Amino acid sequence: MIRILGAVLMILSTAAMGYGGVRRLRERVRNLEGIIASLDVMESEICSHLTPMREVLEMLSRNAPGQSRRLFENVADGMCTLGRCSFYSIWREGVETTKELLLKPEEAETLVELGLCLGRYDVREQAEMISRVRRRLEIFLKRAEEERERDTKMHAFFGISAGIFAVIILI
Amino acid sequence: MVDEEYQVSRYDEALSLLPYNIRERARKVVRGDRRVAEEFRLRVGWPPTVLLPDGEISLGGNAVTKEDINAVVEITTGASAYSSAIQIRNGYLTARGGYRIGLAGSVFTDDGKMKGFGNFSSLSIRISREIIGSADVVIGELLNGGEFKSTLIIAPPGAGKTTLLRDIVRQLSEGSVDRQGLRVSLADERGEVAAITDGMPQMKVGRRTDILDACPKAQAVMIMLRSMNPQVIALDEITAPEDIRSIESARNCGVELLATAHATGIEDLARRPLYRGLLQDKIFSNFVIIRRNRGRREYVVTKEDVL
Repeated sequence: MIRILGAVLMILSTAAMGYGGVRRLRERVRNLEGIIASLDVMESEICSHLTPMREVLEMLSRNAPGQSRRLFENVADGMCTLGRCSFYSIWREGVETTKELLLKPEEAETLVELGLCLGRYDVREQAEMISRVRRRLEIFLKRAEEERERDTKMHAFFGISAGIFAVIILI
Repeated sequence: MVDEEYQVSRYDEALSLLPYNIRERARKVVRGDRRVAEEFRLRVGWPPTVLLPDGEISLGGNAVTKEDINAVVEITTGASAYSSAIQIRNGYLTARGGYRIGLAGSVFTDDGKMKGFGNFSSLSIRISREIIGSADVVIGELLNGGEFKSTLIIAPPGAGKTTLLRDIVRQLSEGSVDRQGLRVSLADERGEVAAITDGMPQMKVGRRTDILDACPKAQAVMIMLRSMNPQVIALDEITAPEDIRSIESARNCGVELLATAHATGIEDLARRPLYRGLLQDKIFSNFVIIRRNRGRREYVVTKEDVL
């Protein structure tokens, strides 16, 4: 009886690990979608309504989809250091510390680059930069979706089969 | 007696507008100089300076970079320079607390019209100070017979026109034991006079003062004339023909005016076509001329009827 219980627990735990991988893949897609949607809002607020940056960040930290709001929360919190730090370094710090976004290095790098331009005088330059970053993030999103399609079944399969394999060996 | 603590605190508050590396150097300026400092000046390629009544002194250290200038704009606007585009296009920014930042650099034009700044190459941060009672020496003469008559304050840049205007506005608006306060409408285009933050004036401009800030002066005068039923309209720096036209309209409606103009005296004013009409039409009854004598301000009041 104890053996059967142990085997079930073993399979459940490896399956959970597999499910964790699946969830991570789905989260990444959702986060990238959230960031892209937030950039649309940001572009409209900055370029059309000339809303001050603090207000834009506060708005997005309340309303941005899913985990992407954490990024704007962190940047908004960092704004109190403006003067000691440049906006670029506050933005970079925000991107780098928001681990919940599950971004790959090149995705994070793209988002960091946006900080070079945000808050500047020239609205057109900012609009172009936001569009450029959004286009690149859309490419990353496509890749993340392909990854999700491709690897979801694999994670699930390996999660369960690793458990079964371990049970067979241990029995 | 001007509060020394306040004078120094205005300098110390202005430090927060500077980039960190320059701020630390500016913090080391001796107290006596901090009390009287008038401006910070940053020019790309040169060390930053502080303007004192006797001239500029260098803060030493590394030369100012383009990034330093951009940092001041970033700090002042809260990383939202785009939302202050209209001010920047006019060559200035107003920071929290009523500090005015003058900007210079490369301008880009379209069809001969100035569209904005491409690059900033230098800036000045004016350390404005509220001097309560600075109008005490002139207010009696301006209220001859207890009635305020239109007054023009004349002085070269940096002589204290805005400070005097602010205190006259405050005194007219507050009134005194033997004189009722007047309804004053203040056209504060650059936000320097009242320094409104979140709807609250940071400077004392009196309880009967209505303020329209960040609005071009000429429009502000006409708006307030229509909507606020003012007894006095105050505006800082008459610089354009439309300002003159709005002033004339206000005068024709029986409203008294309080304004400032850049000039060394009435003769200097009369030489300029822009102001000549104002003098000929006798729009102003009083002129206050501010002169500087060994770092001290002197006020001379001249009546229109003795001109």
